[in-house]
Amino acid sequence: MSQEDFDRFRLELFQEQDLQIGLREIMDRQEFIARVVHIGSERGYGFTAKHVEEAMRASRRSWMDRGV
Amino acid sequence: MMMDPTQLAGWVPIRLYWQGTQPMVDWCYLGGLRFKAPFFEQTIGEALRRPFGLLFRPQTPIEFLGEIAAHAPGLAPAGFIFHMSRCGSTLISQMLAALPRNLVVSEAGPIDFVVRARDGSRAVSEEEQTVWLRWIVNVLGRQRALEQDRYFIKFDSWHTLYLSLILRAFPEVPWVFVYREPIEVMVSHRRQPGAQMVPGLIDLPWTGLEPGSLHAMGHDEYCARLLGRILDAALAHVPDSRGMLINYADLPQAAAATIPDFFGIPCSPEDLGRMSQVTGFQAKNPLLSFEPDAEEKRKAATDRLRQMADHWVRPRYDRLEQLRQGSGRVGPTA
Repeated sequence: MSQEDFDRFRLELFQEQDLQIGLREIMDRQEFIARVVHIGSERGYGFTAKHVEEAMRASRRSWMDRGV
Repeated sequence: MMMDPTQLAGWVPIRLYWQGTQPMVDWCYLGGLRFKAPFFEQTIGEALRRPFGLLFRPQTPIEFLGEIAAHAPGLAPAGFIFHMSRCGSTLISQMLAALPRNLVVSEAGPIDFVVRARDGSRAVSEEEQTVWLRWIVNVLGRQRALEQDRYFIKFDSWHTLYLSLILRAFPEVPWVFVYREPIEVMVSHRRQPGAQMVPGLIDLPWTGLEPGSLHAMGHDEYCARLLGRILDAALAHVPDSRGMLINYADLPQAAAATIPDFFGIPCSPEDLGRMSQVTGFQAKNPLLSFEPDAEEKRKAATDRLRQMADHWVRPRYDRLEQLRQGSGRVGPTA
């Protein structure tokens, strides 16, 4: 999954509030990742659970490294 | 990423950063989460523990804050809390946050970014900085619950150095400055230094000294000098009809009895009861009960620490006390 590919998926998601609501309520990490991959594949995106996990790790790192 | 302001209802700016010459905003979905934790970042940490919050973080130019402020503005601030650190300011913010009507944002990183935006070599004008500050304060003040209709901000202690900027951007907002016996504050920093007390960690252009000399002067002197500068900055803005001085020694009674009136927020007996419940616990760690520690801290002070406190901080502290008590003229400082 390229960054551009994932950005396009996120943009699509932001434009669909109903889709967000379904994902926001999932608290279990693995269930959430599986759901994201499923939605992505339904919409023609080819990313996998590994890609989503890496994106989540990168997000965590960017927060931890934010500095003071 | 092109966004519409209405798409970010329920989202908050959690971080500002530079992308080249463009300030950018990092957003996170908070949903129903409220700012009840002692510090802004604790609430954001909770949001980021949720998979959705972690994976979907839109990034927008800072100008997007202006669009939101124009189309879906937040609450106007009802009061600002400034402080010298380790002096009871978190107790005050937590007492205010105990009331469901109050939205309390405490030491938010995005505000710090804007307040210090002109400190480096970036070409940021005063006008830009003022506008950015109004935007970020406005957007952080969006209601997190329907009953919220009052908004308070507790700033980082070093933001007192930027009082002129903040009061110029918000000339109508009442503010308090909280301070404490200098030795007690310095002993607290000696045990667990705040980020601002580690030379070089936060680049504050407050000393006029070379970075090397900052490291060489030792913790107690560095701490005392910075505290002295913070008190100087507060002194430069009092007396002010919008400002009120609060000494830790008067807490928690002052917080419950005086501050709500000063901020213009009437409190029912039930409200006061809720607020007073907070005082039984440590404000920064509500799981622990509150134990008075002033005497123990004074006993723990070394001679060097006392010397630094007396030289750099105490004259300013005494002047604040004179002004607070309305007892006379202001004397010279070290």
